[in-house]
Amino acid sequence: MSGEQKIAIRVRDLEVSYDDNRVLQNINFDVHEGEILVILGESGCGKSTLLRHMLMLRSPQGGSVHYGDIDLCQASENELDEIRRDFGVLFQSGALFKSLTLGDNVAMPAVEFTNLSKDTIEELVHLKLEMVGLGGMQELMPSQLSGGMQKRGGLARAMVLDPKVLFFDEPSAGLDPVTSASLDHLIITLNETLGITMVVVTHELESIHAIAHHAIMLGKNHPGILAEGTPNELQNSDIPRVRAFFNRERYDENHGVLSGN
Amino acid sequence: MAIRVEQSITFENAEAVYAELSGYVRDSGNQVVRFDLSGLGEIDSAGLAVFHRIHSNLRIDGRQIEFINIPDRVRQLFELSNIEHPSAGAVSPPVHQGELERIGQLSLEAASDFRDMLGYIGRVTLALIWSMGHPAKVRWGDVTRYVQETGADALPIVALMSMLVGLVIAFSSAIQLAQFGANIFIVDLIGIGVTREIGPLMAAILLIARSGSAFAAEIGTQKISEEIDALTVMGLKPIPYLVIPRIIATLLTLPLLTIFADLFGVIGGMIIAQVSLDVTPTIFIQRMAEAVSLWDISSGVLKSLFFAVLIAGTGCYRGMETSGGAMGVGRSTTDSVVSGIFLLVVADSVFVILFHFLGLSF
Repeated sequence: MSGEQKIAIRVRDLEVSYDDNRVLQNINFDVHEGEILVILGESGCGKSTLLRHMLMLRSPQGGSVHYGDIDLCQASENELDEIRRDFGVLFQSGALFKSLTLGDNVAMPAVEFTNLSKDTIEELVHLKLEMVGLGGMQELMPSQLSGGMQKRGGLARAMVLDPKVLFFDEPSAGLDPVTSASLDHLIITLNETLGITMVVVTHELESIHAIAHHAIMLGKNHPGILAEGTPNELQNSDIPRVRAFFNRERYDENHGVLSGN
Repeated sequence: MAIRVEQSITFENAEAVYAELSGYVRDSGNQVVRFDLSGLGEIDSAGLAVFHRIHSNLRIDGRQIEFINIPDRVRQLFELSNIEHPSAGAVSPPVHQGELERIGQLSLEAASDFRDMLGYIGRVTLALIWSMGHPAKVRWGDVTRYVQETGADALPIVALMSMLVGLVIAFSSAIQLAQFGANIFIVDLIGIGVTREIGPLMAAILLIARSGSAFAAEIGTQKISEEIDALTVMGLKPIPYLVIPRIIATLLTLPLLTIFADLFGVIGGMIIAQVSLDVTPTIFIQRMAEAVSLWDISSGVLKSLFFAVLIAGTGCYRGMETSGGAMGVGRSTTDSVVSGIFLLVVADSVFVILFHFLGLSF
């Protein structure tokens, strides 16, 4: 399905190091419009680092990240601010501002960046919360919400200005299977009905199978992309490390796949 | 008759469209207001919000909304945002309290705070006594780190502030003293004033600002990130582990800081004595030996021992009381400084009165 689709984000030769430690290298991939791209890999492989660089929260040591015609790595602060209006990000913890009510959290981008009236914003907040299943809870403080609800709240805030691209950092981390599944369902519904392009960082196998149109896998101790394809292609990959990940097996650099017990 | 919508509704024009549409709705006066969406252009969330708002207004008047000829794409959006059956409003209505009830509640809270504080003082005292019997169990590594942070690192600011205060006091009194030809008494004023009160207070206030607040913030952050709970379940008591090393460190540093503050306060006074009153440093020091007794200095140092326990104890207590995330840490830090300074001044007043009645202030 990705054949004729337009490319939303193009990453080329991205290179990232922390001090002398090369974390990412030769990273090349495209995010197509309207697709759900999953970035996966073992803990510590640089998934979240890649996401942070796609958002230009940190500048890479080399390479480019194009959104449309603009290279984010070369863009000025003002251009970046402009581009980030098209982006929505759900951080791992939801990152709701603890001093504001849920409703004020969600309203914040709309208050800052649009000239809608207070009443319209209130309705906007209401309907976004309704979309994520938190209808009627706008008066609650983040501390009164469970972890899963905080994430949904963070998602409502990320979506309030109708972003073209939504980024998710470990959306199902720390959630129970039921909540996690309903969040996956929400991601799919939003993608299908609103056509939002999505970039999801995760290592949850169930989520990957449920939501990914396309996936790239980063390798631990290997700063490049290990494998790329649909979840099914990856599961049947020739690379032992990739297969081990998808079949939940132990793996060791020297001995390959280790038997279960 | 249905109201036909023949335009796009987006973030850019939402307010204008709302004004226009609600005008039609007002004019129509129908019980059920119909919108024909066959001609609808682009619609985004702001557009949805406009329809939601019109719907809410109608509901208040007991009227209804209906959409006809909804394009498929828009229908999905409508379903996603549940426009037909929105959830009920706020979950918990705010509780209204009478004045009396609130006063009662505040008194109960104050009483329970006081009880908590007494319990805390008791536990800290017991832990301190226990530590004296078991010096090997004290975390001396932490103690040295806190000595560095509360003591050595504070030297420059303590020196600067005490000297400035010494300068200011000497300068303000120099004019008065000169009028009476009592120039030499600048030494008595500075010597006794600085060693008994200014030195201990300056050192203590800076300790509150630099370290008491830091203790509250550190322990508060540990509290909200469940580190204190982790200590407790590992069988490590938070007070010996977190509070006692800090108290021991400040007990060691504050007396030294006090002597240091005394020294620089006197130097400040000495400078002014030379400049404004022609009292040379040699005369100043000679007179100082006559005017200032060892008790003046040691009473200040003695007080500082109590201040040290008070300041470290308050900072740690506020830290342990922290709740409610980043805001809570900010509140505890503020509280640690405010109540630290308050208790410091109260304690100092008690000492003044105590020394007076014991015949120790002459």
